[in-house]
Amino acid sequence: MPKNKKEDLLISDSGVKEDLNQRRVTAFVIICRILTIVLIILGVIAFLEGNFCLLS
Amino acid sequence: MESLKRRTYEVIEASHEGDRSSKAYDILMTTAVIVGMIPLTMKKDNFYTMIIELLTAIIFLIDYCARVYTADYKMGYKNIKAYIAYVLSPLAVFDFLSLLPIIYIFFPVSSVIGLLKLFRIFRILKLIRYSKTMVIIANVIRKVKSQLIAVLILIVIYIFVSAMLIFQLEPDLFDDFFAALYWATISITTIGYGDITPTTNIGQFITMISALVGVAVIALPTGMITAAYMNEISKKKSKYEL
Repeated sequence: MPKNKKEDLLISDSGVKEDLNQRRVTAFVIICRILTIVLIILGVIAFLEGNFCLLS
Repeated sequence: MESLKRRTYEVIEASHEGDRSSKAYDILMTTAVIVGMIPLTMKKDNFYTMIIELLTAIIFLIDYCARVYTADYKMGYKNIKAYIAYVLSPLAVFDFLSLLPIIYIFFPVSSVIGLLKLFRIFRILKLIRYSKTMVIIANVIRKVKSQLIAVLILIVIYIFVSAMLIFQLEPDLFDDFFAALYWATISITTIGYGDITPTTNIGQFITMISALVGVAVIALPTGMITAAYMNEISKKKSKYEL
């Protein structure tokens, strides 16, 4: 009977094991960066619109 | 579950070398704080400021919830007291106050609620967490807190005494006691706008004394903070040299 432990890892036939944790980190970093960029763009537009009326 | 909590704590606190998530989060929070201040530079809100307000409010709300959730790690002990102690700590109180402008987004009904927008200014205090120098300055102020409070009390007493004196000696010059307090504050800080000028000799004499006392007393906190800051810096230097 095969021994199944919690810490056992299933390796795919190709030999490449995708680290789920690493993918989560990358997704989190991407979301943070997108939000940062969106905020910067909105900030610049709001400042120009509110103080110089350049966009209207 | 506990590992998720620990990881959340690591991410929301100031980043360490090589921690990509924490660094990205720190940059996002710093940007949100700075961009969140932009609506305060305008007379009227526009469409973009409303989006900024909504977006930053959601970010700060999530940040606040995450900080309360990981309060036991922050405080260093694991029971309900840690959560209560954290919620009542100065930075957490300022975090909570900075969330209040959210109410204005959903209920922009009265001018009193409109004043809540001013609480955005508390968001700037969030930056303290993300700068090591800011942390040093905060520690320095905490160390000389009692001396600073003593000097502040001295200044307030002097302002009240000189305001009472000038209010009695030159009653025509001031409409009310608040104007006298304003004059005393402007004189002691040696700013001297010149909008209220004493005309009698005794009034001018009190002004001269106020200016001289001001030079001595107002310089005291600056000296205290500078001395404590230099002390902290030299301590850090000697720690690395040893």
